[in-house]
Amino acid sequence: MSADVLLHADNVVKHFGSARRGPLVRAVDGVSLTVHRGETVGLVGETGCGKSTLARCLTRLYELSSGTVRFAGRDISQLSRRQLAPVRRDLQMIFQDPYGSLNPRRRVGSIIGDPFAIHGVADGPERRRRVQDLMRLVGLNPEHYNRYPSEFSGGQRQRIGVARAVALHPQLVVCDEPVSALDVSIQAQVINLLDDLQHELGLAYLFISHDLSVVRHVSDRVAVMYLGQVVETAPARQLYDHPRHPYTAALLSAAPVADPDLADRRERILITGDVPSPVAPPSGCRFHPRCPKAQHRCTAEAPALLARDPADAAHLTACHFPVGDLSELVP
Amino acid sequence: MSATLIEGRSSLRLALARLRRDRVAMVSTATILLLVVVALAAPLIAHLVGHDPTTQYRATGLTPSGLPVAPNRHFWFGTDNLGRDVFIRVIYGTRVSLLVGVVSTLLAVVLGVVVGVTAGYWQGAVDTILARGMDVVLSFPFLLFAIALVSVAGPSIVVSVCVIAFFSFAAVGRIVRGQTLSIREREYVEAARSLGAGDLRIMVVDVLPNLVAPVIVYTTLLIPTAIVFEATLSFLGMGVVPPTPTWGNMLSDALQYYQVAWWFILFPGLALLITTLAFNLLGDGIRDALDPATERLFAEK
Amino acid sequence: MSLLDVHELSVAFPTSDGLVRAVRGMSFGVDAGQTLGIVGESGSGKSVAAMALLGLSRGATVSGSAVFAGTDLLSMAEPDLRAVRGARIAMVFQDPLSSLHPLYPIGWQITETIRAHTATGRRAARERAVDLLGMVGIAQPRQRIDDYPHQFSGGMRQRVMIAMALALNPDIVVADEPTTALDTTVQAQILDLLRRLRSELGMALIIITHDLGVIAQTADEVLVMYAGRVAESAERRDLFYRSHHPYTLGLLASVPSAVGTGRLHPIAGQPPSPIRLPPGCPFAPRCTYRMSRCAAEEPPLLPVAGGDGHRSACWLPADAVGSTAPAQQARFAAVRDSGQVTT
Repeated sequence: MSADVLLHADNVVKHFGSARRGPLVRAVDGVSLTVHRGETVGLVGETGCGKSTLARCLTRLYELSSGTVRFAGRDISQLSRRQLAPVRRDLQMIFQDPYGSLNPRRRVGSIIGDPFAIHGVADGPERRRRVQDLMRLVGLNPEHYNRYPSEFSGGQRQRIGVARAVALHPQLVVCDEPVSALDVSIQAQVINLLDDLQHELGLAYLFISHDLSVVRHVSDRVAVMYLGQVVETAPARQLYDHPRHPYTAALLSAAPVADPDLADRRERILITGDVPSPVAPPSGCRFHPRCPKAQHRCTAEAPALLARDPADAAHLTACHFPVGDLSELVP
Repeated sequence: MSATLIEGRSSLRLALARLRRDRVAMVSTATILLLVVVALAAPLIAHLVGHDPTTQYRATGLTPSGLPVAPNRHFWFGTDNLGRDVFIRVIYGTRVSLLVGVVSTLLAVVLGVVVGVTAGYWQGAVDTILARGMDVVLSFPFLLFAIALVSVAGPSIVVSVCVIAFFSFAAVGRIVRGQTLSIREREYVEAARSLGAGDLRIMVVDVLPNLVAPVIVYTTLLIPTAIVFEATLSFLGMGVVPPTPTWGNMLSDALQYYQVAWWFILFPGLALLITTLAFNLLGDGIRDALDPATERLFAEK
Repeated sequence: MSLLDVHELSVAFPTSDGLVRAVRGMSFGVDAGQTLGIVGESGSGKSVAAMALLGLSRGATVSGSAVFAGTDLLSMAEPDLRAVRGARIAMVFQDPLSSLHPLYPIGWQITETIRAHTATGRRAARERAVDLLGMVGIAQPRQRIDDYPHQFSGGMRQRVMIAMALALNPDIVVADEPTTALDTTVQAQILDLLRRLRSELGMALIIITHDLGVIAQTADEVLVMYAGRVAESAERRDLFYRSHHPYTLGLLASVPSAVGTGRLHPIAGQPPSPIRLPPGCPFAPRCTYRMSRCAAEEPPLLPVAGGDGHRSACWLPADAVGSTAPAQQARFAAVRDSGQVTT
């Protein structure tokens, strides 16, 4: 495995519930994913696709049902809490809800200082100084060290979350919908901040979002999830310009774009029905009930995630009949 | 811009400001402070008035036929059946009530918080055992068991405190457990775990501060219950040993004399009423002040 | 003659921290068959304005006028307003889970609306409900009419809300963030449905949202709101390609583009508090083209170059529209001339 690979998830499975006590929720059902040093991998999908669950499995907040996760060359899937502690210095997470991810009863300086305290890195005045440096780094006023989260706006709270996550200069930060709860103009500020920090600290990101435009903007590579599995993964530009999986194509055509001409012009691929629940996924290819190109093979055989075009090894698709041209999907 | 750090204004501090605006709560606080002062200054007051709580003033304190004397210049609240000064006895009774009430409540709260947080955080087998344990304690018929325990151990202040604490902790524990269950699921606890924080650290640093508000409210509301519990125990002769006056045992004695000595039953009863009312109203005021629904809508920039 | 003519609508709420001036003098019109998009971020006052029109803002001081079919909604008594609500002007809210009553079947909720406003018999009302459910794309409406809200998915519930809104053939449907709580693919379905219904039934549609993409897709006319006032009002393409107000320009520059991956240019700072508004133009503190006049005088909606009815509340020259080089030059020239230094 190349020294460049930072995180490698191999066939990660996470089921909730037990087969005895009723239906099993197959939240993540066999996901393999790689993140290299310094790159940003985007993960998109709708509700129920399992992206948040996957994030928590990768950071070991949830126990995996099966599969492995290797971080910096080391298998972290079965490590105990104590063994995981040093790993957590390098593998961090940013959460979606700026209002829920900060303890309302603690001062901001104390919250950002947590990583230093937990890992015994710095104490007292030294810790204070480093926390204030961090605050400055993320665009907060260091004099607000003693304030409470309720005294900050949503965008500022998210910056606090970012400061906390990058305190110990991790190698990989998993961002779970970091800007979804923010207003448009604030979103842009936080996206730029994440971008700047990536350059300054050499961070890699796994950027999870349902917002396709944001993911396209920040990512080097993008993976699309549907019902607990990755259905397509490719370099960002390529995925958006030439999606090969029908779901990806539909998703892209459904996403609102702030450009009237483009909105009028593009192919409208409307798929019917609702996002199904991960409790009873369809047989074969999970997308087949909603797919305009579905054929008999799709109901029986689940397609593997492979490079379907020999000329393009980086573009993997899990589809028996990948899309060549978008007009194939318009009725 | 000054180089000094700007002080944060937590929601607790905002709550304090709100509480200060609540007139009823302020009057209650003043009343409670007055009671504390009176309790502490009891010997001084006795000295100033010239009577003490246990002396029987048969000459001046009883009528020729041996009945209690009505309130007059010498005995502001009148006397009891043994010629003792009811005013001084009520004041000394304040000491017992407040002491037992507050100490037993504090014990109950500490125990309840420890048990509640442990049960709510660990869940699983630990939670089952502790929660069921609390349920069992809550389903005891308090009074009967209290009486049984006191009969075995003998009546005294210490026994009263322990008995009351034991029967009160479970109510606190249940509430704390419920709160912990919900706090545990908050994203900031998840964040702490993702940073590598251990369970103990999370319980102390993240869970406990969020329990402060409901615990304060519950403590303030538990004190009057404890005071009444103590009064009940002494009323039944199971509390503090006579001749030490408590409102409970005074009421017990006064029952037989209510037709001839209304003051004997009125003043201890009034004292009990005012004290419990003050704590209850203060508790309500604190709960309203901490109500998140009235949190500030727009923060200043 | 507009269907709805709103003039100087203002809504203020007294709070313990001060008077919150959520809407400050908003004026606009909606024509029959037209889709008006009202876009703004949180705190811009867009939802408050819609609620106030229908008399749904309790405790607020509402002033101005909103003339609908000859009468002023804002001076109507509650019983008369109730007759308008639902029947002539209907609302679709953001979160169908909290807007639908969880304990009554959806069929009942629809028929109740119908029977509350018209003298329709129970059977006829039920038939109408079945028709409506079919119209909004619910499969097997006759079977599903007696189901409860929790038995539907988010997208289906939103369709039910739309069916309820259309039950009495209203003249105007106000949709407040109708797709925000929905998944992308479902969002597209709902927007498509709204568009189709609008062209079939001919009602006017007011869509309130923070999502510029939704606006680009569905609106005919657009209002951009900031700090309780209309910052810019224009026809759809004018707004996106020939924007005048720096806030609009800033918003468009903040949104990740569908084509480029250049760095985003967010608007610095934060929206002002509605209790403590700065004097002059509320956007001035964050504006790249701030002139000395801006901090002193709040600009009214002035006509600008381009389409009919394109107006912007800004002191910059009327012909500086869009992001073309000449427009930028005109802006910077204006700033220079005013003696102000650009940021």
